[in-house]
Amino acid sequence: MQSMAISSRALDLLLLLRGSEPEGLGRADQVSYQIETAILMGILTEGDRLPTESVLAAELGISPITLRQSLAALRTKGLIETSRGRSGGSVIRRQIELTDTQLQHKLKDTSTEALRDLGDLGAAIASMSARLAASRAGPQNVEDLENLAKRHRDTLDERARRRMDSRFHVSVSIAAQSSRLTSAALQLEAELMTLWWGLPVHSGSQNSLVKQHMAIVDAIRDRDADAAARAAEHHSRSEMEYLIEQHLGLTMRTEEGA
Amino acid sequence: METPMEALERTATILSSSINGLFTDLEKIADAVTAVANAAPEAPRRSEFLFLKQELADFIKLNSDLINGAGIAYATGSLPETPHWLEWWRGQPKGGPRFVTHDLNPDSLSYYDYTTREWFTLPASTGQPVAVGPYVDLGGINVNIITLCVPAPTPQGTHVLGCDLTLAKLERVFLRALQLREPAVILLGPNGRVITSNNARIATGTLLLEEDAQRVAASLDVSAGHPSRLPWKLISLHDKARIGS
Repeated sequence: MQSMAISSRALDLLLLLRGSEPEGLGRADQVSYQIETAILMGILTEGDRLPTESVLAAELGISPITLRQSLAALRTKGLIETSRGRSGGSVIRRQIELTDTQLQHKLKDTSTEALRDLGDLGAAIASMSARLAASRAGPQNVEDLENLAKRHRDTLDERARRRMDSRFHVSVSIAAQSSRLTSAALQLEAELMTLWWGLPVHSGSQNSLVKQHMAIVDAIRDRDADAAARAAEHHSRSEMEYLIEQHLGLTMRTEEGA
Repeated sequence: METPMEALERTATILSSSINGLFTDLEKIADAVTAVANAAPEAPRRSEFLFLKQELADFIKLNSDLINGAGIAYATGSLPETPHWLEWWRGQPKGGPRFVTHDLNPDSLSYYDYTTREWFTLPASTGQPVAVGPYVDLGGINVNIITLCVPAPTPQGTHVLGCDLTLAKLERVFLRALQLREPAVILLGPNGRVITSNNARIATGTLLLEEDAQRVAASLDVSAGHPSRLPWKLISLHDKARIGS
């Protein structure tokens, strides 16, 4: 199988996911959770080659034995494949797809209040990140954001587009040059990824998301901090309103069927 | 075809009977606390109230579809052992409720001074039961809740019994009772705070916007018999479009 060594940026993002895992996990389980989340978010994709065990263990700050346990758990789940020899190592096998039923169940069980609270945090992270990005983003950052916004626009598959949306948000925090904001954004997006984003939406609302992304990128490129913050906050809020709408719909529909 | 007002009335009946049931159960426990204190020759020690642990555990278990915890806060200086004492229990998915530890050290950052919290001061000063919130109980359980509280007057001062309604559970009861996506219906707490609604834009915990307050189509007290202890209203809104036309 063709494989590519993961970029140092993918590795950095993986490291930033530390702390997103649920409480009470052992060290090995924490690391498998982080790698699984990175796959779920599309930070690591099929064919990506993980660094050698000794390098990865050192980066993650764990012993090679603990890392081997994490990798074994991922192998059992079929998420990575490990081969021996000179060109050996662990390669990401597949994209994790939670089923619609799993995602819907999670969204139905998450209350409006919990969603609103998640949205408030998201809006805080997004608007401050966009504000800082407007004064700090380099040309490469702006180009990355433009590309992600375009790829989001042009992706047809619903799940893939959702992942692209997440990566766009995280990249705004990266453009803000803040590792704490990036880490917070990543963890938030990881949580949102486990919720149901609904059936393919009609092109109208899809267009409005695309326009909102463009407005954020434009404001960052123009170094207009206030406009960037406003656009990012608006975007976060409309996404959360959409999720709450789905949650209400699912809750009501189930009650009718019961 | 049911009218929105009929849906509002049905929802109000279901909500008020659930909540008033909780008040009634809490009042029974409060009566027992008052009786123990009145029967004691001098200020009762905490050990006299040990029966509460079982009473509250049963109460929490029986009402787990609405509440996630309950407890008692003793009047300042009422216990011989300590000036302040708070005993709160939280329901667990399995087994009996767990004791919630509160930081009662005044020098600590997370000091939980319950004697200044509304859920304690209101029933203690008025002598009446009341539903407080929604509010974020920082230092308590750190989530957005509504507390139903009931006074237990004793010769040593008024203790307060309470239970915590989670907004997630209340939302389920509300939506199940309402069965309506349109028009927008909002369960409104005191001071215009949204408890829950069937509209994504009008989210739990926010204040009802002035523009929304201006398009109220119908309004109904949830508990017509006890508006002071359950100061909640159900309101429905006119469509935005209809206002403009």
